[in-house]
Amino acid sequence: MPDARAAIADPAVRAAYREWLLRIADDELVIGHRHSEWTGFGPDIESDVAMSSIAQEELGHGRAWYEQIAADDGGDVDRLAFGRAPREYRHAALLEQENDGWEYSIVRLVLYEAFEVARLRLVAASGHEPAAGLAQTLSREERYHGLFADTWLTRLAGAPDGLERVQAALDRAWPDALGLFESTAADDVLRRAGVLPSSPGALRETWVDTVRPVLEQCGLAVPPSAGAREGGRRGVHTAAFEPLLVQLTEVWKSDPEARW
Amino acid sequence: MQGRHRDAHVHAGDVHAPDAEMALVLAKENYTRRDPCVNLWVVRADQIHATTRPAAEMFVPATDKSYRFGGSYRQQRRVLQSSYKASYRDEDQ
Repeated sequence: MPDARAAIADPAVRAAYREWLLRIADDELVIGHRHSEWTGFGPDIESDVAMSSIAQEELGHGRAWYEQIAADDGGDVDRLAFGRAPREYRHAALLEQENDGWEYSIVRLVLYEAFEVARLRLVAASGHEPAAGLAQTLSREERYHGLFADTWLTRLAGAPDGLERVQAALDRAWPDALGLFESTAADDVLRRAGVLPSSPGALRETWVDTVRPVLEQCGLAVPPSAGAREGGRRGVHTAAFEPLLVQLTEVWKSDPEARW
Repeated sequence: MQGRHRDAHVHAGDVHAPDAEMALVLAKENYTRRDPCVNLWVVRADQIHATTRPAAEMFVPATDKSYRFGGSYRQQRRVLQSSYKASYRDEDQ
């Protein structure tokens, strides 16, 4: 494999790599915000605290990735996180959808955490620092997020009429989840340069192998693998995103020059 | 919860959960966020056998037993624990 750092000297590869890191950061920021909307509304106080804590951690992970990108750009972290137009965000549709019931949020968490673990492993294995080291560190927290999600999923699917409700949530989330693996020109550039030792397609296979047994053990049917809702990785988002972004950036936009 | 290996487990609080596995998952996020922890136990509240409240009287000595109190042992434990906490904070920074 060519040396990732040498490859990064090429401006086109460098731009593609920035694009890839931005996907991670934006995924975390947007899902962190959605999780935080459960604060005060969780099904019980303990799960409310746990979900809020997961929200804080995802926002923290988003910040850590933005810091790496901003350090390279020489720009401001807050401006990068909050100061872009909607089409400049690179998260997948799955993360911006509204919390349509606890079972939807849990299904989304199950699907996203399995993806997140596989993606962080890929970044850690790339050997390209400082991203590889950060991926390694953040994986520790993602492990609990996945445990919380899987534990809740089993209980929900096992409840009376729970299976149907969870299946409906899964059917709704699935096309958006497949959109996590949307491939753009940036992926081809990175693969050719040997910066990332995998492709979105291979990552998707790893992910399906992880989530399939979890879902099937609950008695859930895994939806078809066609019909991915794409666009997010190119900055094309659903109607759910703009209101989210308005709320998420409200405080920062009230005074972008303020130091917090 | 157990703060570090070889510490005694101490009671941290309670959670509402349908089973032990969920109780452990919820306890982790509700009770171990502010202090170090290496291990958790959970037990069903109805599996705890307790003395009755009126029985509190049996713990009160009738004659002077201050010779049994062993205050210096407790003092030693406090010193050990505070030096541990200070070193933990050092590692944290």
